[in-house]
Amino acid sequence: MNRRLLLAVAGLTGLLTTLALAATSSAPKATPVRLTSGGCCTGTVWTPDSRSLLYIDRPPGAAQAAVYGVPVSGASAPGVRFSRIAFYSPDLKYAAVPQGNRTVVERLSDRKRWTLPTQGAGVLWGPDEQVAYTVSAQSGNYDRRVSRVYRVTLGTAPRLVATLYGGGATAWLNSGTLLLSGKIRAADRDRQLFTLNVQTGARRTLATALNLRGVQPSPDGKWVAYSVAFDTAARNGMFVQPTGGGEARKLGWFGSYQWRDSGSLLYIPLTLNVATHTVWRYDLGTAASRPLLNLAAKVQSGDWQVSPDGLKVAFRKTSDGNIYVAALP
Amino acid sequence: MRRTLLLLSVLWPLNGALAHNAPALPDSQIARPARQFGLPFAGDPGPGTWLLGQGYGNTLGAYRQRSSTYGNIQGIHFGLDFSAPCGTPVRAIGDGTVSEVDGPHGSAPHNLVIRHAGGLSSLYGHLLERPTLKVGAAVKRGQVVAKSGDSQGTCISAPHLHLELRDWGHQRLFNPLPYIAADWDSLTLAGGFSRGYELDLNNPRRWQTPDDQPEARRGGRLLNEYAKPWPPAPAGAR
Repeated sequence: MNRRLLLAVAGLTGLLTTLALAATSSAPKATPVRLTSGGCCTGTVWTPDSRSLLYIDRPPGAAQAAVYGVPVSGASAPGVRFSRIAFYSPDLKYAAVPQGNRTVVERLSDRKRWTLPTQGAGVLWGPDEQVAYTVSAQSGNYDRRVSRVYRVTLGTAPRLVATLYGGGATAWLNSGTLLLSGKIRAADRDRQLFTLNVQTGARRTLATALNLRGVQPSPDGKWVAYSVAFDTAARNGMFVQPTGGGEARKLGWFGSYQWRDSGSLLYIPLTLNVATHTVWRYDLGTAASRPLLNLAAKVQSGDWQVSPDGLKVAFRKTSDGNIYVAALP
Repeated sequence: MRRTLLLLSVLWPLNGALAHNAPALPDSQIARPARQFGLPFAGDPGPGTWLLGQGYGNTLGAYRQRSSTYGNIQGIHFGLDFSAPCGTPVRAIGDGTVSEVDGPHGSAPHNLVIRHAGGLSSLYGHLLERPTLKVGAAVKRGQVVAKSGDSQGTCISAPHLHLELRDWGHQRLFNPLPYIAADWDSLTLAGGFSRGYELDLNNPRRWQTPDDQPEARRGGRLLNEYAKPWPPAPAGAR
């Protein structure tokens, strides 16, 4: 009986693998355009208009490192976009520069500056000149270290909004709501993924699991994607869930993922020994997946980015370390 | 026999000191990377089995512990971390001989060293329990040699296997990637708890990919004490 079951499972696994490979081979093949040369391009991000890519570099002969930009149209070679290395907000209107125990935030339009006591932590850019940051202990058991989450409207005093262990703030969902994950008590087994109303302090727990990874809210903040690893078989896997309340939906795939828009996720499955990486699309409305684009290359270190308009994908190619861009069907 | 045992028990603590004071093997005695080894876990990666957690080298995580956890090995993450539930069977990456069980190599609570051909040894760290293999035992590639554990000792905090590739003298630590036959481009796609590499803004193209990482030597100067690091480490993290 057990042997029959094993054979059946093996047969089903083989069939699924065959179907997956067949589906992958049926995906249209991209003709990626190389945008850089010489191997470079750390920390690539899209500009908000989806027309250029930004990355930190110091090409041979350059006096110093800078944030370079390259148009995806290929109309011009990479050039310095920002001479200052900083954490820029996605709309490129603000910059944050850690300086020891504090972070200086600057509004680029008028160079107005605010100093935040972040202890060197990164900032999460929110709507209406709000930022959040998590100050974590730097020693002790990783998932029991105390993490204090602060929220500040620039020009006002930071306010402690949550204390967690082994976690912190992940994203802003809207102007009044943060998404956080971590342990409520240091000795807890599980982490919680929850929303926090920064005005009232009201919390909504979305998920509880041992390892919550890769938390990414949809562009409209109404959904969140995350994965759970090394918990029970029922909990392990990839999930999407409404942030306003509702059941998590377990997905039938696992890999590297990003939101294309508020209705769909793009992902590259974690499948070994493939010749090239293929981008798949998961539709939130139909709950169906399909292969979207064979990149005709392999992505280096999971370094790929969907443009804000959802029409293009940029990635760093393993074979030469350069940035390529391809149009998404 | 009893005298031998007594002598061994007296000398045993010196074993580590001797191991760490042995001369480094020269390049001429070190096998070139040729994907001659295998992965330490069987089966496919996934959220219920195993995932590549942290790469070798100039990682962001190592930079934040460059003078503390990694200070003795030039500040870099001198192995590969494979996340996995505690108790996952760990397999020898190649044929060899067990040279140390719970030797003085850190990676608590338990570790195992297997000596291979070509001047190379593999170290398996953060093991759940002391391996039952005896020093001198021959092992084959793929043979189960241990169980994975947790660096924090809880099995819920950071369960993972730390895998190193060293020279027989325990002085030189190599990037395992070009030595292990695996689809690293796909393994690095998902599941990491520490992705990315610290930037030296004076040379931002250096050591930014999994296969372009430096060898490290025991007791050498920090490789990542950059004049212009990016991102800066949080206060107190070094």
